This record gives sequence, structure tokens and C-alpha cells, in this order.
Amino acid sequence: MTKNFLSRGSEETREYARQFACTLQRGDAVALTGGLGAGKTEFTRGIADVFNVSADVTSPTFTLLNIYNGTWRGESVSLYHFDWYRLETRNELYNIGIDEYLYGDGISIIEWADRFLDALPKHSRRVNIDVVGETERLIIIEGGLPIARATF
Amino acid sequence: MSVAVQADDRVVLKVGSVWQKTSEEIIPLIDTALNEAGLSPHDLDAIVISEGPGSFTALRIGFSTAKGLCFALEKPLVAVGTLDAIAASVAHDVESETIVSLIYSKADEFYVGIASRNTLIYQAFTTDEPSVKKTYLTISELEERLGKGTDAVVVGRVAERWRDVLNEKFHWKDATQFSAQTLLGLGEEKLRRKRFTALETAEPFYIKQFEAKTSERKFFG
Repeated sequence: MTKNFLSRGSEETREYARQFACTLQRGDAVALTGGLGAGKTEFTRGIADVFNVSADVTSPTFTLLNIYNGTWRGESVSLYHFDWYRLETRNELYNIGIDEYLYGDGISIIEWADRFLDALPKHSRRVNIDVVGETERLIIIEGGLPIARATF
Repeated sequence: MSVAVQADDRVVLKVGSVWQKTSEEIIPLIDTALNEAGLSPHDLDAIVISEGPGSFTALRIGFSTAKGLCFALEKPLVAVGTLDAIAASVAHDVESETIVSLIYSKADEFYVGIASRNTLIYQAFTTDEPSVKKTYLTISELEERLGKGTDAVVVGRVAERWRDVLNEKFHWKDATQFSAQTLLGLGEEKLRRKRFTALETAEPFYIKQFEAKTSERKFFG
């Protein structure tokens, strides 16, 4: 199932991300794509809001992974915020033990997920943000297969 | 994670709580097991490790610990394949000619070992040819590989939610008894044949599924 949304600015992108994030649960992965300045990190901030993350959310371009502590239904949950932009080979992902994050019981958000499609879990939600105007963004969301979730 | 010490015919087995705590529990468990066996680390003949496949982090912790101890104590390291050990643990209890061992990876995907029962019992380690063929399959790929009405016994230790699925599709057998103790038999056999693993190059055995198969997935659709 595909959903489209036209955002007129970063505040709307973040709000739309909050609505989207209400459907997420432990073990989910969100694959984010879109060019530079499309609003991938802003979208991540909206997700982080829903999980009560108090830390500043910035793109982990150089750190590869930021881990935020949040809560979900009164219990603590980890948000794994990846940026695959600087990675060159699939092996680099393998060597950080990527599957233990993607198939663990936290929530993974991956910017530049299209760099390594094969590394994405089958149950990933896919979110693409297209720049269609100075502040306007077209957000397209497609669901993954919930049956392939690591934790039920 | 578990630790077993064999002293003559006596075995002391210690089991950790959850794999996420491997790094904090492994050394105290080794210490307790040795104490209960009345041994000092210097009394050991060799250290046996299950080399995987399995949890990325837990395997690395196991290898770092085992290699560190081997270096310090100047003992040989014996690596035993985890799929081999699971298959061997039931070889004497089943009739079927083919034994398939399973380790859960993620989603609906498993590490798979396929072996002949006779080879496991009579020919293990007699040649350089591995007695268990290893691969990486989804559950439906495994079904296809084995074929309808297969009499192969499928054995492993899996989470509750997979047990019913596996039971319905195959002659399933729970390897509930599988632990570090199970490694001792194969380990002893390898030790006897002096099939050691070089410390400077020893590393976990991972089946990298992304190298084993390629797909052409698209971002949407």
C-alpha cells in the first residue's frame, strides 16, 4: 500500500512523520530516501518526538549511527538512526553487526537506505521524500511485510 | 551461552542467562566451571569453541575470550562448527539417513547444515572434506531443497514461534540438550587428530547471506 502526502514545509514534514510514527512498533525499520536537503533528518525528528526522545537529532553522516533512548508504551526503547551515505561496500555494514540492530527490538531509521537495498529487512517501511518546490516536498510511504518482523 | 569443562569422565556445565549478557558472564562462568571441576586453567589440554554461524556479537566475544586464554596459557584452540555439533548431537538417536541442522538467523531465514548420518558417525574429520554442507535458506527454500515427503530429520534450537511451523513441515527434533557440553565430543576427536585452529587467523565462521545470494530488490514495489 502506498500513501502520498504533499508537505509545504519542514514543520509539516515533521508533523506528518509524527502521524506515521504512531503506527511503528518494536522491531520496525524505516528506510528513508531523498536527495540532500529533502528533509530526511526532519522526518527522523518527527519519529523521535513520538518515542519521547529528548536528545538532539542530527544526521549521523560521520558517526554512521546515533542511538537515542526513548520510550514506547511506558517501556524504554532504542532508536537506531543510521546514515549510509558515506559507506562504500555492503561489507562495512556487515562488520558493524548491522543485523543485530535491524532485527533487534528497537526501531531503526536509515537515511540513504537506497545505497544498500539488499541489506534492508523485508519488513522495512519505505519513505521517499522528493523536492518538488522551494519548501514543498512530496512524501511517499510504502509499507513492508509485517509478517517478516523480527519480534512479534 | 554455556561453558563446559571435562576432567576425565566428569563434565561440569555452566549456563549463562541470555546471550545479550555474554560479555559480562563468560569469564565468571569459566572460572566457576574450572573451580567446580577442581582444575586450574593451566591444567587444560585445549580450549574448544563453537565457531558459528550464529549471533555476530556473541561469536566475537567467544572468540576473543578463547583466543586470549589460549595465548596466555599456551594451549591449542579447537574450533567446532556449530551446525556440525548440533547434527552430531542427534546422530545416534535418529534413523534417518539425512540430518539437517538449523540455526535461526533473522526474519524467516536460517543457517542450514546438511549431513549424512553415516558420515557424521563414522567419517567425521577423517578427511579435509567437511562432513556438514552449510548454506543459508529461508524456510520455504529449505522445504523446496529437501523435497516433499522427505524423511530427513531437521534439528535445532529455535524460538517457540518457529517450533510449530517446523513441526508441520518436517520431521522436527528439538536440540534442547545442545550446549557447550555437546562440543566436547567433536572437540576431543579433533584434539586427538591434532586438527587445531591457528590462533593468529582464527575467526568466527559467518555465512554471509549477502554473498551467498544476490537479489534485485527495488526500493518501491
